Amino acid sequence: MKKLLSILLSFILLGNMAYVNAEGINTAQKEPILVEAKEPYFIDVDLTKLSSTMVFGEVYNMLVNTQDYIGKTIKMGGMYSSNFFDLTQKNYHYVVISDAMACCQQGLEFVIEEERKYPEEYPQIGNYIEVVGVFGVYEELGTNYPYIKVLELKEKILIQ
Amino acid sequence: MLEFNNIFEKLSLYFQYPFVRYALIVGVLIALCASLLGVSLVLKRFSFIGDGLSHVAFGAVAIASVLKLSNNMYLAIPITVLCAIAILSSSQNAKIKGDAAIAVISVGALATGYLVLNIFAASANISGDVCTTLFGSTSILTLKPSDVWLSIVLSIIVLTLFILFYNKIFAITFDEDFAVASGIRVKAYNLLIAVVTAIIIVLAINLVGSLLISALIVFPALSAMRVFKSFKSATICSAIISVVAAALGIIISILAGTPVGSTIVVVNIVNFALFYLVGALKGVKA
Repeated sequence: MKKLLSILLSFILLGNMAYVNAEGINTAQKEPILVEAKEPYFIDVDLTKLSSTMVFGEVYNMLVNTQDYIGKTIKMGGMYSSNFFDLTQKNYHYVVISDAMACCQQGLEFVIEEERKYPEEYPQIGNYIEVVGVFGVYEELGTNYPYIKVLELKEKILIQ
Repeated sequence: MLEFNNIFEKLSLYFQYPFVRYALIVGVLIALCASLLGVSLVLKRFSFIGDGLSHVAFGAVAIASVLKLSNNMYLAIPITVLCAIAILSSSQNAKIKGDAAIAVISVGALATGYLVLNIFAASANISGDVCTTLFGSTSILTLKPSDVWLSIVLSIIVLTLFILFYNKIFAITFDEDFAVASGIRVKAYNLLIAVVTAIIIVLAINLVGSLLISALIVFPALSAMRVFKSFKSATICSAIISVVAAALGIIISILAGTPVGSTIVVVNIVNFALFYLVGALKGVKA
């Protein structure tokens, strides 16, 4: 009986590949999202090589002085976030970085050119992602928004 | 050796970013100005004036944010100057004196500022804005060229005033009654010290945040006074300590990814400990 119970328990543990999400609900772990570059690229601004304090300053610089970065290839890593905007009926996707005290956050929107279904073909919210893309600005509803046109994206699954 | 090479390589990469150069320039100037007045304020028993006025500046910055002013300093400086005059120029016959006056004004301004920010929120991240203003996490790394020029001009004004009126400030610091008897216009010079202190505090919010400004004023002065006994030597030493601490603090924070304000204050604390030790050893030898 004891042997049967321990075998049963082992199967349950092995079979459960889930991790607990923010709501405490077990979800099936999906494969990390990957967008592969279609052609070679050269990185002009690599934020992954900077300290968190420097990254915060540089991202602020990019958001304030957008004209200095248009057309440049940026590599940055941070937390994936997404939100749905009722007015445009679209999902917007961001890579978010925090300052050293984690009280302030900044995000940079990224856009994957190919058609992708949300949320299945996008990273898990809260996971760390690394994005390489070309910095640009687009206009929507009369406001200019900086964004990164994705060349490459890698997601790192959160292990808990 | 390899680690030092890596650190130098990283630093030379970081110095290519203009916002790092701006941070160092402004940080060093603010630290220098704060330290010059620090000796005088500590000796006049006004060490906590930095804390009090910084809370006033926070309140003023909060109101300026709500009013969406292009530069918060345009409102913060006049309001802080007025409060500095009210605190530092209060007479012996005033009903609310010295530390009580500081407490009333500073706590009132802090609470009002936070309330105003919450009710008339100008951004989606109120706690982030409050946290940044209070602790100066990365504000020093988000300066525009206009902010740098404003800081340079104000620092030059403060330095010039200090050098021009050094003898008068010295006299007022040690013996106000003697200064009055000597014909020095003590009230006018106290007013000058109040105005200059207020300007420095508003500038220093960007560097270390409201809550840590006192450290910039107090620590270099106290460290210098552990070792040097003359006013001139203590002031010069305080200036050097403050500049070194600010530069080192900024460099360490950008290398290690730590908050800028707290790193500068911790470097000041280490300096104070070292100078305290040197002072104690000097005392033992004597």
